[in-house]
Amino acid sequence: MNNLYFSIITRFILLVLIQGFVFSKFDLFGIYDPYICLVFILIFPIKINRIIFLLTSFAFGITLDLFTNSYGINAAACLSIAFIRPYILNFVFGSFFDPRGVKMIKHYLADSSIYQKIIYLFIMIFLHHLLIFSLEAFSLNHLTLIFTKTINTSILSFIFCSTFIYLFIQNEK
Amino acid sequence: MQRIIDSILKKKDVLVFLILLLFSLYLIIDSNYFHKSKILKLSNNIVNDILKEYSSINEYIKLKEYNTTLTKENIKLKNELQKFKLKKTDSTFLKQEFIYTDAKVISNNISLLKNYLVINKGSKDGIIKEMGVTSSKGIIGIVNEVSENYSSVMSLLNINSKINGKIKRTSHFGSIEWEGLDKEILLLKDIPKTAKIRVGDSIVSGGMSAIFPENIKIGLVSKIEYNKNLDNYLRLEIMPHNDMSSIRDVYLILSVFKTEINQLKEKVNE
Repeated sequence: MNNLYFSIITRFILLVLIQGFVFSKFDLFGIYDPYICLVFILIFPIKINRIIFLLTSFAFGITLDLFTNSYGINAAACLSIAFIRPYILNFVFGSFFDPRGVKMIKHYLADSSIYQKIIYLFIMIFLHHLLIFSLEAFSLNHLTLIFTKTINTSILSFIFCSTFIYLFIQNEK
Repeated sequence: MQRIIDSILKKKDVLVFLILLLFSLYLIIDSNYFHKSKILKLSNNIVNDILKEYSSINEYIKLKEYNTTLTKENIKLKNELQKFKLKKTDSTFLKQEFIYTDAKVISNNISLLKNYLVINKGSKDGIIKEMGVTSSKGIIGIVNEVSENYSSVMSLLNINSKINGKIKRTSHFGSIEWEGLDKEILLLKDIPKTAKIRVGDSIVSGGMSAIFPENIKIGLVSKIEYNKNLDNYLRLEIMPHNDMSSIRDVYLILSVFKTEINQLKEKVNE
C-alpha cells in the first residue's frame, strides 16, 4: 500500500512538472498544447478510496492552474472526470469492471480489446477538454470555437496520452 | 433524522465532489468577474518565482537571437534620433506624452482561449492597470492585473481583447479582435465595405484610447473577405508582426494624460 501511495505522489509531481514546463510550451500546429497530465487520472489505481481520489484530482487540477494562470478551470475539469470515471469504466468494460478494485487499471488496459481502450481514453479526454474550454470561454457565444478547439486538442492529447500510458505499462511490473 | 444523516453518509463521495466542484466554480467566477482575490495572488507569486528562474535558464539558449533584434532596434532608433536632430524643432513643442518602461516576460501561453502573459514587474515598479504593452515589433497586449512583483498582461490572443486599430493608408478605424483558432490571424472589425483596402496594408494602433500612442505597428492585412450578408462591414484578416509564442523583452507604455482623459470621459458620461 505504501508503495502505491509513493508511486501516486511521484506521478503527481512528475506529470505536473512535465505539463507545466514542457507540454504547455509545445504549441503544436500553432496553438495546440496536448494535456499529457491527464495520464495521472486515467491510470489512477482503482482500489484507492474514492474520496481520496477526488481530493487528489482536485489538488492536481489546482496545481496545474497555478502554471497557466487559469484559476479553478483545470481543478473543476479534473475533479469532474475523476468523479465520473467509475461510471465510464463500468460503461466501457462492462462485466470486467469490479469496483472493489482487485484488478488494477493496467489489467483493464492490457486485457481488453483495442476498441475498449480507445473508447475509454477518448471519452475521458474529450470530456475533460470540453469542460476546460467551455469553462474558459464562459459564454455561449463561442460554441463552434469551443467544439473545434476541443476536438483538435483531444486528438492530440489522445495520441500523446496513449503513447505515454503504453510506455508506463511496459515498464511497470 | 437518523435516516437522513445515514443517507447522506452513504453518498459522502457525491457530497465531497459537489463541495469541491462548487469551490472551483467559485474560483472561476471570482477570477472572471472580480479582480482581486487574495488567496490566489499569494500562490500566484510562488509559482511565478519558479517560472522566473526557469525563464532565466531558458534565456541563454536564445541569447543570440535576442541580441540581434535589440541591436536592430537600436540602430533604427538612432536613425530616427538623427532625423529628429536635423529638424531642430522648437523644444517648447515637445512635451512627453508617453513614458516607457521595460520588462521581461516570464510566462506566456497561447494554447488557451483567454491567454495571458506574466511579466516581471509589478506595482513596486510603478506598473498600473491598463498600461499598453509592446515589443520592438509591435503591440502585444494590455496590463490587466498587477501584484507587488508581477503583473499579468491580456495578450492580443485572447477572445476578450479589443484593441483600437486603424489602417495606416486610409485611416479607417476599427477594433482588433482574435477568433481563437490561429495565432497568425487577428480580425479588424467595423471597416465599411466602401473602404478601398489592399492586401498588405499596414495596420497601426489608432490612438483613440489613452493606452497606446498613435501609429504603433500591429500587423499587415493578409486577407480581405466580402461576405454576401446584409451587414456593411468587411472581414479583414491581419497577420501580426509579433510571433506571440516567442516574446521576451517588452515595453510598457504609460500615458501621462491618462487620468486627465479618463476624468473627461467620466464627465461626458455623466
